[in-house]
This record gives sequence, structure tokens and C-alpha cells, in this order.
Amino acid sequence: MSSEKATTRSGRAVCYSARDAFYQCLRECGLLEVKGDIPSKCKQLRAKFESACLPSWVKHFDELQSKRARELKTQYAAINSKATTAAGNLAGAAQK
Amino acid sequence: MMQRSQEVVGKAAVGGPFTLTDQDGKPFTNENLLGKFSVLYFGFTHCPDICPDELEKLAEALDTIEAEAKYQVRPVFISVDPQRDTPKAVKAYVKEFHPRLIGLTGSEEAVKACSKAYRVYFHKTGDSETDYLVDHSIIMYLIDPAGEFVTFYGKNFTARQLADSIMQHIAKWGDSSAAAQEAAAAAARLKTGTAGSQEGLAQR
Repeated sequence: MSSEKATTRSGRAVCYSARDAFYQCLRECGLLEVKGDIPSKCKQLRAKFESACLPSWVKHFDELQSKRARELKTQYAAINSKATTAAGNLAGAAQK
Repeated sequence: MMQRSQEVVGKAAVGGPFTLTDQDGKPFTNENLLGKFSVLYFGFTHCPDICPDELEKLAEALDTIEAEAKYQVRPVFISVDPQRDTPKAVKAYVKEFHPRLIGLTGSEEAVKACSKAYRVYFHKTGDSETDYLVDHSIIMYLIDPAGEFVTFYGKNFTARQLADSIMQHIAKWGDSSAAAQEAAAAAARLKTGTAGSQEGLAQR
């Protein structure tokens, strides 16, 4: 992405959709964020993302994604702990 | 449920004299804020997501206020990235959000001085000299027709909540004739130059 594109609505739109396509691919591979190697399935989308957005933006979006991943993990943990301690349980066993 | 903006008690020490340059290269000072309500937003054109979102939100609120209160609020974008945000760059940027959106920039010193007056925090991040982000407070400032700071709105306000709150202030202002006199007096004081020195303005 050129600096000129970064400051236009259309340039931003191209970046956002490349970003979203890449993270969607990660999700389909069971990943919430970029950690270590990128799955080969998503490598091309990653390249597209990196060319559609400024490097500083790619870093920014990756960091945001990691932050969301942490928040989701905390939420999952909370839900799971509530599920096992709440009356009844997710396996559907009837209360005695 | 309507969000209440921060109740600012007494005259908060936010705002003050500044001299910047608008998107057509002309000088723009705090004096240019007189006469109607203005909303100021500090940001930068290379902002990846937050500034575009906030400016879209502001544009929507402006249109709502014009439709419902028949009032044209003055929207002002002020750059915190003087290095890259030339008047030309700012002009192309603000044009896409709203036809009335004014874009201001200036020298590093002028931008720093204005940000200081409005207590705006901003900080360049990253190592690159050309590709960097600017961390900054995400706040919209409401200024009254007398050029005084009224209140501020955070990122959590929706366009609807922004419009409703601003319209409340507009109505309150309209109800107060004493305020109208104060606005005229403030304008007069500034014209005679007794409001203190303004950076960059020649002595008249």
C-alpha cells in the first residue's frame, strides 16, 4: 500500500478486506491470531494483506487481533468454569 | 438511554489561542471558532482505523443535527502529524468525510502548542521515519459560539448520542440571552487584541 492509498477511503477499504480475508482464513484453521508460522493455506492471503496495508498498519492490526484473542480466551475460560459449577451442566445431565 | 457527556463544572482550562493552517493554506486561529458551536477532533491522515471511524461518526452526527435542529455545527479536524500532514494531504483527507469538515495542520511548534492548549496527548510510535503511527487521545471537543470549551466526548459515544448531546447544548445556549451577549463581548475582546498574544499573528 502506498502512503497516498493509506489516506483515502478506497485504499483503506482494500486494506480492510484483505485483512479480514486473512484473519478469516486463520479462524478456519483454528487460530485466533498470528503465532509463529502462518498456515500454508493462508500464506497467500497474508501476502495480499501485507501488500494492501502499510507495514505499520499490519503490525497494528496484528496487535489488535492478539488483544482480541486474549479477551476471547478469558471469556471462554470464564464460561467454561461457570458451566461446570452452575446448576446443571452443558452435557445436558438433568438436575437431581 | 442517552449518554451524558462529562459534566464540566466551572471553566475547565481547556482550549486557548492557537494559529494553524487550513486545507487551503490559509491561517486559522481560535478566533475562527467564534459564532457557532464547533467540534474539534485531533487525529492524523495515516490513521488505520480510529480516525476514519470517528470522523464518519462525526459526519453522521452533523447531518442529524442539521436535519433535526436546523443547525450547522462547525467540524474541525486537527492533525497531530505535522510531518506528513501537509495542507494538501489534509484537504484530500477531510473532503471524503464531510463537505464542511475543516482540516488544520501547521508547523511542529504550532501543532504542539494547539495540542497543549487542548490537553491532547500524542506520541509517534515505531522506528520508521516515514511509516509510523501516532498514538493520541481519542476525544471530540465541543466548543461554544464564544470559543469556550463546553465538554468532550469519548470513543464510546455513538453518532446518535453525540447528536443528541450537542443539540442539548445548542438548545441551552439558545435559551440564554446572557450567553449571546457574552459571545459578542468575547468576539469584541479578541478583535481589540486584549485576549493575550496569539502565536504567529502580527500586532495590529
